[in-house]
Amino acid sequence: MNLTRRNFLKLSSLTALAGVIDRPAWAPRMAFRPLSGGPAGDILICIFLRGAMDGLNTVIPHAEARYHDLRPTIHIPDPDQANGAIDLDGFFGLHPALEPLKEIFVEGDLAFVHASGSPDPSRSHFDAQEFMERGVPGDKTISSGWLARHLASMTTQNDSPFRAVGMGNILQTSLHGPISALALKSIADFHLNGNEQEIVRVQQTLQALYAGDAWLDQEGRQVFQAFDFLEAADPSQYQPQHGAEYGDDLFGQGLKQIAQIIRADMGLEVACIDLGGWDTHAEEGAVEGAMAALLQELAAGLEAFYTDLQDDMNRITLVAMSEFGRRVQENASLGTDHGHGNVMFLMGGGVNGGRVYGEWPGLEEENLDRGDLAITTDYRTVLSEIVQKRLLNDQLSEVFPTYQQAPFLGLVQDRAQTWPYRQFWPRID
Amino acid sequence: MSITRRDFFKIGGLAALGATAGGLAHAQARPAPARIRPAIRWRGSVSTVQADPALHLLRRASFGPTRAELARVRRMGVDAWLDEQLAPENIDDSELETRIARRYETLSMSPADLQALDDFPRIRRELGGATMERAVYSQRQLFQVMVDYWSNHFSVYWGDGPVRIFKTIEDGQVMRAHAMTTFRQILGADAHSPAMLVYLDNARSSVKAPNENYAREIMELHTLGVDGGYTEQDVKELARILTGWGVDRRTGDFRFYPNRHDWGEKTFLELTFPAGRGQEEGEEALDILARHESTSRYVAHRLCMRFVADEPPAGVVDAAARAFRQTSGDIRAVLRVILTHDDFYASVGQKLRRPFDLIGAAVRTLEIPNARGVTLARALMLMDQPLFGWPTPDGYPDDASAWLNANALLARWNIGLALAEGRDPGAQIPWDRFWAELGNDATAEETLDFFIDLVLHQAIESDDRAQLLAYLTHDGAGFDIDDPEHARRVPELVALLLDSSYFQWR
Repeated sequence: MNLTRRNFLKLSSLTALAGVIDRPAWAPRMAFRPLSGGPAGDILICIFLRGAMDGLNTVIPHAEARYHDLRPTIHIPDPDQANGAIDLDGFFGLHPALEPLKEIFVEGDLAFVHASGSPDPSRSHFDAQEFMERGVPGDKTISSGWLARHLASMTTQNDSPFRAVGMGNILQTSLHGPISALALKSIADFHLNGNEQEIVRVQQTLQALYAGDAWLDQEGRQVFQAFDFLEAADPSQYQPQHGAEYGDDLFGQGLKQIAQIIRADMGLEVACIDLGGWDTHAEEGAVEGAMAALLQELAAGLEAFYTDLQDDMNRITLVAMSEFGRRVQENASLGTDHGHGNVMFLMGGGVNGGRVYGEWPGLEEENLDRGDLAITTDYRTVLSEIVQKRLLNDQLSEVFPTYQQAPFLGLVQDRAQTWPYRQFWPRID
Repeated sequence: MSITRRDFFKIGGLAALGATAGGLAHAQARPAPARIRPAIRWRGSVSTVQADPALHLLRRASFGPTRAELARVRRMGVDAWLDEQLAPENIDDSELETRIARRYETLSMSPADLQALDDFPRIRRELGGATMERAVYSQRQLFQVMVDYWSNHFSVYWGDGPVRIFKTIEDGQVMRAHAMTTFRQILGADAHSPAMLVYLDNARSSVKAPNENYAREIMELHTLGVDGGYTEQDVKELARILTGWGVDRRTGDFRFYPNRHDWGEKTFLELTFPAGRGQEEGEEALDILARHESTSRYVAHRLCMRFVADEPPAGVVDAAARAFRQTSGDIRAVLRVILTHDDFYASVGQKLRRPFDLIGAAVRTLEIPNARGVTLARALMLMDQPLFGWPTPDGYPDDASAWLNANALLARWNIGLALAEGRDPGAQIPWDRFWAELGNDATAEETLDFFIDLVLHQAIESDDRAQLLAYLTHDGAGFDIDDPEHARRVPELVALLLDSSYFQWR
């Protein structure tokens, strides 16, 4: 880390005050986005760990004897042992595969919220993911996603087709609703392929065929807008900075492309990306194995993203969640069954990092929720704090309409206060 | 190639100068997009598909209309066609099946043979190839649609270890053997299938360590539905009931292992299962699930999602559920109720073609002879619906919102271009036949109308027709079907038809 966040904040305020920001000569961005475009607050990256990540083997309550007792085979050894957990605060420790995240934690840009999650008792992946992404656990009457409602309730003038991006071919439920979100698998492949002599006319005709008002026309229009934006901003010219190395896996490549979109300043406000495969009913492994490999992929992606975008971290918040946790007691297939409470990740320049948040309920039988880690922090408390303080959206009742707000945990700094010049200094780009 | 913005503007600029080019001027005058859609619109599918009973039935109950099949339905009537399709055993498909058996030897291999073969890419290629060719060429169209339906209802992920072997077996012995029998039969066959037992971990479940995975999904996804009235305790109890249901490691067949079974007493769905019973209590649990009222509603609803609408009207769902109960889950009887219901005929254009439906429909409607299923299956991967490639047990989603987004739409457009331009070596359009039908003197309009009929089987809006005509004549500069320079526009015209919104709905 050659530039700490604090130094950077200082530095960037100075440049902002002086009105000097390096701008490459190529950038005709004004033609595509009005001054008022872009997010009012942070750019939010929302990671969904699909399949129910085993939070107890991710951020490990190593000081709990019961943790070791209930997981004789798959527990992670204590920090003072070989291949042990990486101690965070004397009680919790990181899985060894998350080693790259330790420095970000120490730096103060990474925090965890343990024993958190969605209060709905469903142990069904599909129900729980749907509930979580819609932000209305237990309520099947509201079908829009929480991020879509957040964006719809903001009054920005941002009409970029890259305002909300879901990596992959199938758009995440959290982005479903009254806004247009772009599912994007690969920037490099986002163009029409066809006979060179005819393709320009084909594209124009297609555009004319999709000029109507129906649902499909709107999606079609979005494709053409995205063509224009990509052509103008050419995000693929941005190669990772500061020696960041993204993996070749879908997750790493997805984060890399999100970083490119951010650096190309294309009006991104929210990006969703998934990492699946956490349903470790059998042969979960411990220090090594199936889950360790996933954690490694997760950590490598986050580390690369953090390193790459360190100059932008003060306008980025990243949150990672999973639909529910896994049972405390390991099963005889050397795995874990569906559980309840889990751990959430928060990363970004505005995160009050270096802490594991949440009230720890304990692992004694009487403290468990039907054998599972209890939930002491509703995940919507975490998200609400981000929405209000980092995304600068006060309309929490729009975003989480069925939720009775609980006090914030102090997870993030209030951006309105850390960025006092916002109202006087419209974004120069 | 990707078209550069500069090129785009050059042509746009020229068109704008020539004020007569209505179509392109229209493209220039693209209105500012409404970012916030009306709340009602985002789920409602406003499509341009025309109401026509024969066409509607073929769009839903087959992998897409062809000129010949449409003429046949019109001749015999929708009811007679449905009768025919509901008795697939009376439809001769032997020519196709002979070809497939010859082409794809792994389809008839035993688990041991497949294991010995040790060539997973080939096993998958052949299963995928056969699936695509059957969808395109089978005379038993409704049957093939149902095979696809059940393959998603009882979805397994091909890449999950031994599933790579067992899926081939399961495709024949569960999906194809029982696609049109009774729900209890296909449920039972699936519960005995090594593919499912391995995929959802029941094969490793034992009295010492019951694994709840299959027990949960059989209720949530296969029978009762998540709100079907079972508890977490029922999941645990059913897992105990099904302990011992596993796979014989030597033969790769189903086997009940008494020593892994939990012989104790259980309480499942408020019923007592006395101690001391083995495999038969699992069978009884399946009986209970298959005749449960929630199952009738759940399966009826899923079928109506497939055949009627993403959010099917209560009328047709209730009628289908009633038929399910009255006939003890006779699949044909339920299908007959759905496919003759007023709600079905009122649902024109409300279902989006999934990539599989889209490829099948394209190859069929373009009358492509002898397409290679293997390359068609590859096209599905490009559209993110690889066959048997959905990792979670809920199967590929069947609502438009899951498939309708900018990225997926672009993938559809590019596949349409690739097919029309003949870039799939396994799927060549019979242009010579079409040229012969058109004759040497066909005008631009005649050519256009010929292909609109070939691909869409319906009239299209006059604005859209004008756009396509402007394309074919390069904005009125002319079109001579005998001029090779002009004729090369025809594949692009076909691509535009495949890529149009008309073709996306079924």
